[in-house]
Amino acid sequence: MTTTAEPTDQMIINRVLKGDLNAYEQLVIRYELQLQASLARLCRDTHEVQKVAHDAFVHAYQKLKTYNSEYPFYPWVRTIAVNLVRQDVRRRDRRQSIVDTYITDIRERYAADVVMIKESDRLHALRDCIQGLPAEQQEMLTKRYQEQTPVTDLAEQIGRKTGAVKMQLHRLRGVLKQCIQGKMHPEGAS
Amino acid sequence: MDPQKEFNILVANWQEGELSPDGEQRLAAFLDTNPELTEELADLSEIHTLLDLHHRPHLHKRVMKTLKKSEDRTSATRSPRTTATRQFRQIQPAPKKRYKVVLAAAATIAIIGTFAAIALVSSQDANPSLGSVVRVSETMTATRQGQQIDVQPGFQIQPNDQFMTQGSGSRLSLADGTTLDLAGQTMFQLQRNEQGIVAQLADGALYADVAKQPADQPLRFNLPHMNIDVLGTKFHLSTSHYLDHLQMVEGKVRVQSVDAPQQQQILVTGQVTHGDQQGLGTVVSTLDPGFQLWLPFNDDDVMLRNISGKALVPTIQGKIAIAPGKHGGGAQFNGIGGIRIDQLPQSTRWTISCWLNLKRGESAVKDEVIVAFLDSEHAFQTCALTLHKGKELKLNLMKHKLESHAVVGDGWQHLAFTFESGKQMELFINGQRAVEEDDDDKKKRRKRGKKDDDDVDDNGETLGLARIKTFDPAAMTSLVIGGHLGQQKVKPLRGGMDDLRIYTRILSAKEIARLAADPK
Repeated sequence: MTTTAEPTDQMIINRVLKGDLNAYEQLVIRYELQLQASLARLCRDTHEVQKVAHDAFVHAYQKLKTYNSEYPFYPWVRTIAVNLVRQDVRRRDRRQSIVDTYITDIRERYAADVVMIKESDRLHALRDCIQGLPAEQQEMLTKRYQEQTPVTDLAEQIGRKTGAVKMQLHRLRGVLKQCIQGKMHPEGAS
Repeated sequence: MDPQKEFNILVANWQEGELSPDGEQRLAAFLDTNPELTEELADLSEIHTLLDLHHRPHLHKRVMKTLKKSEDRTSATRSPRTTATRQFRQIQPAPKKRYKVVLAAAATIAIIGTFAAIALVSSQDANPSLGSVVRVSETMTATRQGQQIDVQPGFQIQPNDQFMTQGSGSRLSLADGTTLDLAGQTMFQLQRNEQGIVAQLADGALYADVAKQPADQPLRFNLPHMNIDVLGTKFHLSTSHYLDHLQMVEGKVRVQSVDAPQQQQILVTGQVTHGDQQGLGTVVSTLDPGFQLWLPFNDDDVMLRNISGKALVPTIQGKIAIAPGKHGGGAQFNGIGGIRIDQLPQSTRWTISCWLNLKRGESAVKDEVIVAFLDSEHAFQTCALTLHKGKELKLNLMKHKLESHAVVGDGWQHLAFTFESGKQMELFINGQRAVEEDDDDKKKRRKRGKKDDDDVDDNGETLGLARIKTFDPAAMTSLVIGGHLGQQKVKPLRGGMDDLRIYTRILSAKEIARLAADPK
């Protein structure tokens, strides 16, 4: 039996520079989760995360010739994404709510954080944490996030008030937050 | 309600995008008093997004679709850089190549060469470069015939090129010597028609130093709400979605409203005007030596841009937000922050004018700051205009209050107040004088055998001229607009503000009435 070694980032980039556009998809697949997980700390919502990540990968492709192969690819594309977020923040300052203005300061701090944790681990941790939840709570998250069921419909389906469902979702997010922190920093977990 | 429970409900609603404006203010108040809650909110927001991402399809298909669509327009086999360069060359007219062809022909047959030269000139006239890009700050893109190009210094500008800047300070130089410095996030286009060159500023700001133009062919600047004909001059120009702003540095221009074309103005050195859906604003001279600060709150990127031409620099204290104002954008104060201006010029005369849209009705807050001067010690406000229990306006001098009993009406109201060493403070609401020492006060004082310029009574019931005399406005070093004063009883403002102007001179009643009549 033979095994095929995964091509390195630089090998893929060389193929792209020679005109093989399809090779670039491998790079995007390799880092899309990590980049999006990273942007989840910086962006207002999923829509914005996906837009910025998309634009960052497109921009990176357009500038690939200027990429310095002495450095790893992911930090470079992440820097591009963070710069795009900053530009977006400047543009949307006028539109963001006052609550957003508070969180912006924290997001700026995250963006400036040079310590590169492996952000995809957060998504893996989230997956593990969801699996550890009781079945009915998993189902509620699936309905809300996967099936995009509005809270009002969800409340009707399970025979509860809308406010109660919102609070239940809020509590679930709190539980997941604790669980992820415990998995990412086990020494700090109580 | 238990504060933690209330906070949780507010956050739950915020994450579902269903938080009311009042709820948002409550949540902001929580965050203001407890920074740890902001961290918690940021973490929960991240979890919300991660949960969403966890269930979404992967991104690579969208990325590849975009790239393939882009590649389809050109060659899919070249490297990105080469492709971009070739795209650019394909779009560019090729004058050099044509020139060589013409020269070769001329060397062989002089007559054909002559015709060819004429053809070259005609060809160049048909699509000549309008100028070039001299400097690029951060990045600048040009859209030409639907293609996006990364602009580098030396880029030749063709008619209808659309420019979008990122950083501030990119410079274009036109063939006639005109220079245009573009601010960041500016969308700009140059066109040519039979009248000459037309510059379109769709969004953002620029500084123009326009070379002398033929009298019958002025350089035209088109903005959403105003058109400007320029024969040669220097000026600042900016536009947002709501409002265009023109500030003359030198020279003379003619301005016409887009929305009310019958309105035209001629502006000269030092003058400022605005244009919006209602037409053109009043022309104001920034050469007025007493005009220190003017915040129209219309520039979305730099909310506190002082456009008076003076050096006073306002800063945000805490949090305020941009919201619809009296005219275009305005500042929204939410009881958690305001504006602070330090290093005030020394002056014995002050006038402050603004539009306010106050939170009305019964309020548990005893006094909310509208404007307060602080002395050099910053110990306490020495002169302040406050809103008392959400109802009445009060002018406070030292510890004495002069209640106007003038209740501000609903919606946007114009307020101005003046004070001058040795004279009565005055408050104007919607251009009308609202505070005057009434005859009864004068009679009472005379009855007690005191002269008009005697000090106030111990209980401070009357604000006499003498108190003003002992108060030195020139010692004021800072000004707080709607913000914290560090006192328990006096809270930051809740409400909207627009068109804040500060003068180190006393505006006449007529001038104030004019400001109240015309918000621009």
